[in-house]
Amino acid sequence: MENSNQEKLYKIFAKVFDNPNLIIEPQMTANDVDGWDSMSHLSLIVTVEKEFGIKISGAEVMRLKNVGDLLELINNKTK
Amino acid sequence: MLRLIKYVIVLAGISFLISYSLFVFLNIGLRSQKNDTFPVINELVNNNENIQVLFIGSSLAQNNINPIVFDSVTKSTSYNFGYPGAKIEHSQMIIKRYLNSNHPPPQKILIMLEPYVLDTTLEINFPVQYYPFYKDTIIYNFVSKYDPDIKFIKKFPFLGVTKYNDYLKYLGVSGVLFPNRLTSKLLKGFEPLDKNSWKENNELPKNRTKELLISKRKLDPEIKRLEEICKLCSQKNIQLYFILPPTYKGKREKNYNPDNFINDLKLIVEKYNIHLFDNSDIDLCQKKELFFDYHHLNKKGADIYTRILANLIN
Amino acid sequence: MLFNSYSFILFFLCVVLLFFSLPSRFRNILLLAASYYFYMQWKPEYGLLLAFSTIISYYTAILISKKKFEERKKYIVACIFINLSILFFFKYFNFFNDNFRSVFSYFQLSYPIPNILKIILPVGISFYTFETISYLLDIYYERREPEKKIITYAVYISFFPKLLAGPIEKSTNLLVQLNTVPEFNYERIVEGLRRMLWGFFKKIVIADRLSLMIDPVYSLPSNYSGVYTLITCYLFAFQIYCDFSGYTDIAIGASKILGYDIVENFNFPFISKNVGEFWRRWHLSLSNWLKDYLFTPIIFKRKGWKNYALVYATFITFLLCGLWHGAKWTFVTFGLLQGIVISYELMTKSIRKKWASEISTKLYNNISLVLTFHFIVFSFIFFRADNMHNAFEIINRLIHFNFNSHILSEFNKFGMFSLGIVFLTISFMHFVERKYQPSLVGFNNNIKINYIFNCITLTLLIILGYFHPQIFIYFNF
Repeated sequence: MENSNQEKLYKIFAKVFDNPNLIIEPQMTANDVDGWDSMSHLSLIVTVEKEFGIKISGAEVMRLKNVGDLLELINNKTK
Repeated sequence: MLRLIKYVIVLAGISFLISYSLFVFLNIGLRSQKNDTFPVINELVNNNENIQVLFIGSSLAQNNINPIVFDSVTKSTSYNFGYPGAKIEHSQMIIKRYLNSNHPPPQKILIMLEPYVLDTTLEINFPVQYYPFYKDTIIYNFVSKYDPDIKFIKKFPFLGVTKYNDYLKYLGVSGVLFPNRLTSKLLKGFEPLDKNSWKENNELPKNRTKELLISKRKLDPEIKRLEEICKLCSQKNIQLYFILPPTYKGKREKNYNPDNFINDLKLIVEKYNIHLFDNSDIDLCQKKELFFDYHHLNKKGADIYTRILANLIN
Repeated sequence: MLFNSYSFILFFLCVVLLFFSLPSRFRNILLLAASYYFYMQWKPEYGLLLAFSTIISYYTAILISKKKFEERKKYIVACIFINLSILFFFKYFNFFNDNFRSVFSYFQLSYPIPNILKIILPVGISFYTFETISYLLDIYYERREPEKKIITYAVYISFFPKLLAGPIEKSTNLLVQLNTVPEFNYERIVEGLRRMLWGFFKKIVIADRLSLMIDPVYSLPSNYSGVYTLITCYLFAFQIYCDFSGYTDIAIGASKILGYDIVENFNFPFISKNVGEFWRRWHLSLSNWLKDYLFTPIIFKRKGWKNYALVYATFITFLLCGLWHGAKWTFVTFGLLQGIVISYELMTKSIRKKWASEISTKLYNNISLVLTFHFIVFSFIFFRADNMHNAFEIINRLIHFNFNSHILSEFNKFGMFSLGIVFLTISFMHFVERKYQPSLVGFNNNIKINYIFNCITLTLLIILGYFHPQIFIYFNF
């Protein structure tokens, strides 16, 4: 379950950033990814919500520090 | 720590050396400048010729008397040492400095006076023009009383250039690079004013007049300074003249009344055998076309008045 | 005490000597005392304001860290509200009061609240209030633990190199470093000195000289020709850059000498290819603050609006960014102009990518660069003008592009000499910063170049500096 969430999330990343070869690690932050600006951040979160069928609140987004945090949040919500 | 101090000292040393060289360079240029009153200060410091008649005072000397006309009437050599806004102490410095040089003293000194020269509340105008002459003791002692910057220049000549504004730098550079292109508006120190531009509003601040003419106590030190000038001149056998130049009578300031001032002057005049000419109300004072503003003659007026004055002196 | 005054240099020298001779446990106390001494030189009462703001945020942070996330909100809102109220009272009260009064009088209603006479803006308040808020929100969002020692926290808020005009430090940078013990390090100190020297050069040689040329034009635009006004508008961009980045260089250099690294604030703003990029290169610490604590929360609150959330957030952010600079309609206009153009950029991102590929990308980039620079120069008219009337008068002069002026001496020999100095010094600055980064890091590698550069800068500073201390523009914000 958790591994498949991870795979699915990385695919979303590849789609949002329009880069199939994008390598994502859990400890990566917005600074480590080219083109990760507010606009793509927004579409990333919106896509995640749609694909996983979950709701993420504004405060929850603000508390995310890196990709790992996002994955953990998804895992908690899809349990 | 030692390494750091060494680093800073060597760095500062090199920079100071360069800035000192530039300072010397600019001073050379400035001393040959023809702009503003630089030629007058140069004449004062470097002159070795024999000048027989000196005109001293503020702009009332600088703009009202044409030495060339004076020379042609009296067949003598004269020079106008008027400096804009000069007060009595300033005039005293100029006389002292001139007499200190290596040439015979003049025969006559004419000081243009008006009540306003007693006002010591104002500092000297454009003290920057004296900066290149900071090594001259008489000039330095006078300027340093009013302007702390020249003290800084004397103490730290290697940082002296920091006190020069862009205009002085410009004059200095052009003085060295293009000495032949420099021109002066001044004719032996005389600055002719444009006859076409009568300035209706160009009056002196009114509150100054009032204060000066009413409170007599303030005047005393300045009258004493005048007395010192008189003593100096009588020692050197120079004939001194006090002159109140013409002022336009069209529309006077209400409080303008030189009578008190003239009474003060009369006390010294008798004591030191000085000639006092009050020209502030002569015929020419009615003719607007001869004036630049209420207190300054234009070029034409200056030439006419100089002729009148020359005849009076002769 | 201005950075560009002899008293600051003396003050700083004393602080550095004491700092490295005291045992490490006293250093933060020294920094705190020095910072408050430095701040209270302006107006002693405002030191109390700073202390008050520091103390309540310190205790709020400790309090909320013990609560659960859901319970934190009311405390954080209360504390931020108090901090913003202080800022609002000192900075915006009269402005809003005036505007409400005009609205009331428009409807012919009476308006009872009088203006408070002569509120003097406590210098640096906009900067330290934002730092306090950033610290509180970082605790709220669980990005960090609250600082335990009140002295360390107080030094973080009041650290004198950055107190008056930033950079706006995040708690995750400086506050962490304040808990370490910096060593006396020769290389660091030389680097810090060089950075300070460079800051002085930009401020004293370029910005102050430009201010002499620009101020008269903005105070009496009708006296100057259109051509000169145009030149002035371009030069103002360089004045404000040199003034503010010069200040920042001095702040960063001074911190470096003491052993702390504070954040960079500029990254070649004038080579930006769009206005969004400009704000990622200009006054970075403010842009990042606005992005992290205003823009991002807004877009995620309104994420249902899709791209319109971005436009909405952009407008709010830049409106407040404008107002942050001061309570004036000119700053509001400045902010709105940025908002409009950035919204346009956000909405047309994909179309513009297509345009770029249709004509050559290089050409497209160059055109974008020129357009962006001109937009920035234009918006700076509102930034600099004293009021809207003044701004429109300047724009009017630009439209009537002519050589006629009341003052004919603009382009005489001396005028050209001054412009020549300005041109040469700006070129020198540009060359150095392009080659070695604005932070001058590239210099570390080569001791000889390093030395020659320091020598040239110091000499230029002495021979071309304008040594009549002028206040830094950003102290007004």
